[in-house]
Amino acid sequence: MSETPVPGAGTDRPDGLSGRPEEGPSWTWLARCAALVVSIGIALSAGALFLQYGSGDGLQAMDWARSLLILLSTFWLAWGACGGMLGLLAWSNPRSDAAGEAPIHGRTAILVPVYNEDPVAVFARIAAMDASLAQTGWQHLFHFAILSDTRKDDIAAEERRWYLRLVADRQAENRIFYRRRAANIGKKAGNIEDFIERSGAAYDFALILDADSLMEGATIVEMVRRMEADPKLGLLQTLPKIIGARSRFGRALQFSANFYSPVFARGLAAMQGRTGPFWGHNAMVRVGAFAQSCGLPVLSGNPPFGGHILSHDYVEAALLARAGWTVRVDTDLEGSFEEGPENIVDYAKRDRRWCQGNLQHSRLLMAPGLKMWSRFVFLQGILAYIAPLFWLGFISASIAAIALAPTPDYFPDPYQQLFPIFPHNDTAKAVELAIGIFGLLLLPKLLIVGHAVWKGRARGFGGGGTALRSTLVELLFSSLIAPVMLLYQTRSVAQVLFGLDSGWPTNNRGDGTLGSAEAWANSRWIALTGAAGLLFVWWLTPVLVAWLLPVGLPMLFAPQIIAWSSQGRPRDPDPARLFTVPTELAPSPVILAWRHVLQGWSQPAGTPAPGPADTGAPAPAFA
Amino acid sequence: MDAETQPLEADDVGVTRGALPVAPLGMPKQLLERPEGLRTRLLALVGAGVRTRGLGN
Repeated sequence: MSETPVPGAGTDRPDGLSGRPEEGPSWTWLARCAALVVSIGIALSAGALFLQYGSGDGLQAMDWARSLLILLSTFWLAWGACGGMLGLLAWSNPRSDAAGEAPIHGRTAILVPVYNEDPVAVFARIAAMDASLAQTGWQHLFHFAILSDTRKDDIAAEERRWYLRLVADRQAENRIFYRRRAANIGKKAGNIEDFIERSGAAYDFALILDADSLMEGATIVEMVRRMEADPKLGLLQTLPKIIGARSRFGRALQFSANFYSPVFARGLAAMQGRTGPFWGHNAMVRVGAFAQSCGLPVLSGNPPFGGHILSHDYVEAALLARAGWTVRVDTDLEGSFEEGPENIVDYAKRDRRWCQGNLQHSRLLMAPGLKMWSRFVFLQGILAYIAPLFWLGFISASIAAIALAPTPDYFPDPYQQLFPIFPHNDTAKAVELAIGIFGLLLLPKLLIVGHAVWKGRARGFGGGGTALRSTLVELLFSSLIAPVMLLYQTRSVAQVLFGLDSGWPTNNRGDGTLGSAEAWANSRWIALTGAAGLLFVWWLTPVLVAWLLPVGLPMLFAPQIIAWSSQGRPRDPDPARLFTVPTELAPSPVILAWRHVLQGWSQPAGTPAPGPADTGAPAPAFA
Repeated sequence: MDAETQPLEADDVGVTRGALPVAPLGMPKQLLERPEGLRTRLLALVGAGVRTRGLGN
């Protein structure tokens, strides 16, 4: 191991490059340039192909507009596909920063911000992580701090009662702390900042979690080792895997996050070099670097574009990079988990918040001193919400093109022409274009299946057959819900542009099943939009209706799709089950420990949570 | 632990339980928006003039 920082060290601005030649600037720039050149090439080809198709009956303004929209949309798809391809290449040449079993020295605060969450589930996760840390032998170097921003007094009272139970169970006096802010200024970023301003100097590192985060003790210790091995490392992000999904939608998302995301994240890591991401949780920061670089200002003006920075994580990563610190995602770190939304409505609510946060970053694109890649990451985040509008624009322009098309002139020169001249039929070019676009969507995922079978990773997903079946069904399912998500995203962007603030809604981490009435209430406007769109097109030109059914029908039946996909029930692990993931077949020890604590803490309804004062010595959740 | 630790109960923040270390660390606010310069002010002035003329005033 290299030199070990002492408490308070690591706060100077780092200079020079990290000692990882394979991740040096030349490789990073090569990966970026390759992805950019390929994406632009594919996008230009798609745009040109569409222009050729449109020129059959002469080029109109609408053909140019549609060609531009196809170009932009294809660029975005190609950029994503390139990320997947780079990920597959990077996987074949894995890098590990494992520091072996070297002793660790730094003190770490594990921060658990909570906001109107279920305290039993959250505190049970803390108990499980604390027990997992105890098994590493380094538990004495870690403190947990529950940072409550809960606004509801009844939940806050439950938090305090369950905190006492947690401390008693884990014998964690002076190791696990709880504090509740009187005013939740700055939301989650303000919550973390408040802790650092009051207690930050006591710690070398801080592991920032979400209320639904769960991490293996060995993973946390390994993160400290890597932070200590590289004194220029300001932030180390893990790739959290979604666990515990129950509904059809939740399990499809869980499969996607477990099966594809590690590959795409490796591609991202290849391109970003030392200007990596921060996804807001399951990441460790060097406290001195974070304090020195990440004090977020309040932006001038009112929300949604002004005020407190909503998607603070991207900005904090950019600020650390600006100050010269390395920000890195280590995709080889296992044992990092989170939960995901169980239904489309909860997903769309979360997406609404992210949309506002990402669009707010347009204010920061020209912020002084940022690395070019940080600006590009902001732009990517904005494009993630704007790009679907290109497809919507293309569909609308295609409908308008039919209405505005000129009457075919079969005899352009009637005095010297015996036979009619028919417009060129360039349908083949449209088919080529469609195949190319579907290829961009399908190819990376199918290659990931092949790669997983080759590397043996598919075993955790029920074997090659189940993984392929899950991938094909996931592709079908994501295609089915794509038009519904398109309208939700369009509404989100419109709301932000019209100045509506999303506020800070609590994440729904409960059962998540939606009844028909609830699904209808949340999506009737989508169903009505789909019906109105199909009727309009049928009135305008009936022949186009069949082509629009793949988009119109999912909109029309959005309430049914939302209700159906929110259903599901827990079942025993079965390798042949669709969307099987490794954590279902062989749960990580910390997941089993969490379930064990939850089971031990289960109380009949209405029974107050016992504290040590109430029950004397409660039975510990761990033997 | 080098930092002073002391139990805090119902302090001015809200409620704190346990011996949360008292070890302040400053987080200076970072510059993210360019301060208004002469060029920005001139552009704003011209923009305001164009808008005013556009309204027919």
